[in-house]
Amino acid sequence: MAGRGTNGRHGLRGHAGRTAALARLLHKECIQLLESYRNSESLPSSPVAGDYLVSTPPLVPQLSDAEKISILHAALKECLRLLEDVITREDAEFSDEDSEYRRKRKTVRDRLGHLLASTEQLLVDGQKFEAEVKEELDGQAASGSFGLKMWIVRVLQDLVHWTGQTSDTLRSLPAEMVKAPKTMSRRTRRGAGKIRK
Amino acid sequence: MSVWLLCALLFSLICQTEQDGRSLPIKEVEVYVEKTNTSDLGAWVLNVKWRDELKAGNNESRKVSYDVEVYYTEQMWSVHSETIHVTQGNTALHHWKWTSPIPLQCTSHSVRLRRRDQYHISEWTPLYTYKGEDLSATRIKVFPRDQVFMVGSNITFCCILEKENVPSSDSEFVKRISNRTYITKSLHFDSPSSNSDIRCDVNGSSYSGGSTVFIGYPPDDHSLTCVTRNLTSVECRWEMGRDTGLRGVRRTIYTLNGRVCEINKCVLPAVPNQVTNWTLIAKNDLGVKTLTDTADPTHRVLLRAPSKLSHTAHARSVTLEWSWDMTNCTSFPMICRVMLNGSFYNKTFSGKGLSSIVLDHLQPFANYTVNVSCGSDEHFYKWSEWSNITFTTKEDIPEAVDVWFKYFNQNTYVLWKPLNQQQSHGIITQYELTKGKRREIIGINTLCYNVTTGNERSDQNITVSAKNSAGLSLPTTIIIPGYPDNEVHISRISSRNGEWEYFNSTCGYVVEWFPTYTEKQCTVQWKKIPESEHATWYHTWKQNGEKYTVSVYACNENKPVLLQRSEGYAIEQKPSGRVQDLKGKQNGRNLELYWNEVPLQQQKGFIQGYKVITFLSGSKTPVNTTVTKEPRVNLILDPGTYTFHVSAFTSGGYGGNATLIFNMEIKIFQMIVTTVVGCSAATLVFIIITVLCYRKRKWLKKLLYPDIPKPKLAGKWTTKGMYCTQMTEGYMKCEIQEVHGSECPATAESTHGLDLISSNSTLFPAKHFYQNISESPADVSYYPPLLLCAQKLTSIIENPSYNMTIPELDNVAQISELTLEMQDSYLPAPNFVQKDFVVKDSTCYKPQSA
Repeated sequence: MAGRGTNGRHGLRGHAGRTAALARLLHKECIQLLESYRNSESLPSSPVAGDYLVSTPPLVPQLSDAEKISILHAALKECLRLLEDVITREDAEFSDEDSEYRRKRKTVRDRLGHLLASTEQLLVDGQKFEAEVKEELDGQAASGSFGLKMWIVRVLQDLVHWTGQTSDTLRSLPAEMVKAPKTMSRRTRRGAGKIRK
Repeated sequence: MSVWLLCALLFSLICQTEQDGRSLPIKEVEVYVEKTNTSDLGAWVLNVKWRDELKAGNNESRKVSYDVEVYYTEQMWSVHSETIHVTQGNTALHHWKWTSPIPLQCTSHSVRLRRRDQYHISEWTPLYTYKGEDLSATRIKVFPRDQVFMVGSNITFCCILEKENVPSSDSEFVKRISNRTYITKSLHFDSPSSNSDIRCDVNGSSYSGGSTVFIGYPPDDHSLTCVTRNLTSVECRWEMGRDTGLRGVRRTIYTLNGRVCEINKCVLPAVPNQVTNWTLIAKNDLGVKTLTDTADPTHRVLLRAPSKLSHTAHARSVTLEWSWDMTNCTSFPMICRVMLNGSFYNKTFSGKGLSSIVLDHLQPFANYTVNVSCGSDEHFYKWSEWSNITFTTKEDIPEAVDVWFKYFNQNTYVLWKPLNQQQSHGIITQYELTKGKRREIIGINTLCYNVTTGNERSDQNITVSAKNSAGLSLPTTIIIPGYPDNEVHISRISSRNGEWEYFNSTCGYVVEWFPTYTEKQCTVQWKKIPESEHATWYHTWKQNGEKYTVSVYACNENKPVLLQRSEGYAIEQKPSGRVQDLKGKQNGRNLELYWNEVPLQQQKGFIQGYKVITFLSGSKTPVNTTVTKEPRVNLILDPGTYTFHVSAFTSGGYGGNATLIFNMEIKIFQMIVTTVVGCSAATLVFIIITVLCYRKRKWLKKLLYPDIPKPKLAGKWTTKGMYCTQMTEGYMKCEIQEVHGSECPATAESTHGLDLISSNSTLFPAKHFYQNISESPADVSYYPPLLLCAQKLTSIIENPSYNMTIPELDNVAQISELTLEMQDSYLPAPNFVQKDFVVKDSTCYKPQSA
């Protein structure tokens, strides 16, 4: 929790604002990245069928802001892992030539790393929730290159979804974000049922 | 029971015997697809193997045919049938391949065969089936997928759906070949693409499958060349062929002698002095290209450019040094070439491990760019790339100054030419002029120095040197001869332009020239010509139309001696000015035009003459054109006003016109004589005519105006009234009226009763009229100029013949005897007698009709 000990309440609010702005910016860039990929691969603009790859406890209103941030942080972490997997597989399977899509992809990856580091500073009592990926790429490999493309689209759709969720959640934070008491964290942990393994 | 058994056995034997006669000889039929890396993603070749039990005898062969049929198993659609002809020998195993238009995974394919020879045709074998994936697939699948095809291929895709699913309406999978399999039309791919997708969307389902295929070309690289740059490794390169269009894992893989290479470069260890084969294999999913090169690496030395090139510059030479990025270069014989300021240096340098050279014959204080490139001197292959360096040589003393002299306005000047970059060998800081023991330091901007001493009759010995940071140049000495006593004869430059007579000079000749009309003390130019050269000088003056004075001096022990001086133009132009003071002088019909020359500086050439054009004023057509060499001309002209255009001309053309308008006048005496003579002649002619007319007046009168016979009056009064009116210019108008009506005008004020009286009027000169009146006995009455009314006429008629008695009114017959007077100017009396004349009223009368 870098910086958490040094940030006062005012500093935390300022940091939350910057994180929200970063999430908003990243959300826009993820939308552009998905659009760019669809254009480069001549894919239809309709979303690829299937649930989101990254699964988390539901972001119900009963959850505290800190718990929501923790859940989103876990989801973004899985998104980054999936994106890096996408980059590796895509460059190996297709082409690693420079293109507008690849430049945007690198930008999103870097900024997603920054957003993760930034949301990590907002975590209270550390990481309490985990996210999981329901459908790994290996399961799609049977569909070949086409399956890889569909999986990339789904990863990018997840990126758009989770960065959007993060942006909305951070933007709706109250002006004074109060640290959640430890007891609440424990209750939430039980209620969510997703305890870090 | 036994009977039945016997019968059964017999039937069995019969049947066996019949089957042997038409038994199925095709055994061990095997239907399969070959396993490759991509066969699971789409297998296209169906293999059929079988064994024919009816072998030919030893050393015997016979022609056999097999009918083969292929079906889509599920629908039993025949998709292919073929008859295979073989010459059957000892081997009875047969293998037949068939390429399917769709991947064999799309649906099950069944094959059956039968044997055919010249004697009989066997029965069909049972169906042997290669099972398609539509029997077992648990999810949507598209074939082929992830395969690579050549540009221009036609591909048919199939989509295996889940049970009871159908493709969406906009899907390209339009034809159903089994319960779960749909295929597309044959799709044509005519351009390379790193990947092309086809989707198989299911009607009513959000889940879709699809396939990606890759379209490209096989490798097409060429020109493998291996060289060594350091004698320890060999670097092989090749020219890339056309873009295969394949990327990623499907890109072309290059191996050189089994070692994987970079895209267009491969490095292997070198084995010097041994001929080596290099084999490059370029391979992708569509093909293989093999390139080879063979050489001894020592014959393929392509050195790298010399590195760390440095210099040590002097005034006229430079030492270049460099190093080599190779370990064993010291024993390697090299040859190097040099390019100096873009031109090859006139020699090459060689040596083992050459790393230093000296370039000489350089210009002091000059910028140089040097390029160095080297190669193997023993087995030269190619030059290395260039290394370059830029340097400036150091300064050296300047070259000797070119000195000359000039007399101008009783002064003597020493002149010298500025040294250019090649001559100055550095930056000139000053000039030093020595005159006897006197030494002058002169700034670099002064190139003309007055050395007048007042005693110009004697020779002066002058020495000039230039100085830069390296020192003083060698001195240049000139002995200025004393001021000349006499004027120098100046000739015109002729066709022997620039040649002069041989003179025994010891130090060559000097030609000097300056503009004749704009001479200044420092405007002279000169050129020193060595004695060995032919005594000829040519120079192109830039200034056309400028007159130059050219002098040739012979140099004798540094003392110039004037040989000749000439003037002339390099190229003549037409005069830029006009003749001056154009005037005319008349002498009778002779006119002398004269003028002054065009100003010297405006002549632009030697004046060859003048053209005089004469126009009559107001006319544009010349009446005379004259060319003269002198500035005057005599013209003979008639009187009148003339315009004269005078222009000078050179070999370059005609100059502008000077214009003079001149009036050629006539003398007054001549006019008087002419007038008098003319008038006298006219008078004489008039007098002669007058005399003739006088002397022949009777004849003339008779001819032109015969006498008028006198009227015969018999004493009767006239019945006519005469009315006379005074006209202008002494004429009177008289009217003789004859009374027609019986009634007189009502009043005397009426307008003479013209409606009742027909009148004949005649104009008479008043004089004649009066004369006629006086002469005529019939009309003796004097009529006043006023019109008379009938009443007055009555009073006149009372005694028209003065003496006659007034006839009675009833003596009308007598009246009718009257002779009427002429109605016009002349009427002969006998012809105009009216006898029946009746007057009914005393105041009025009316003629009666005949």
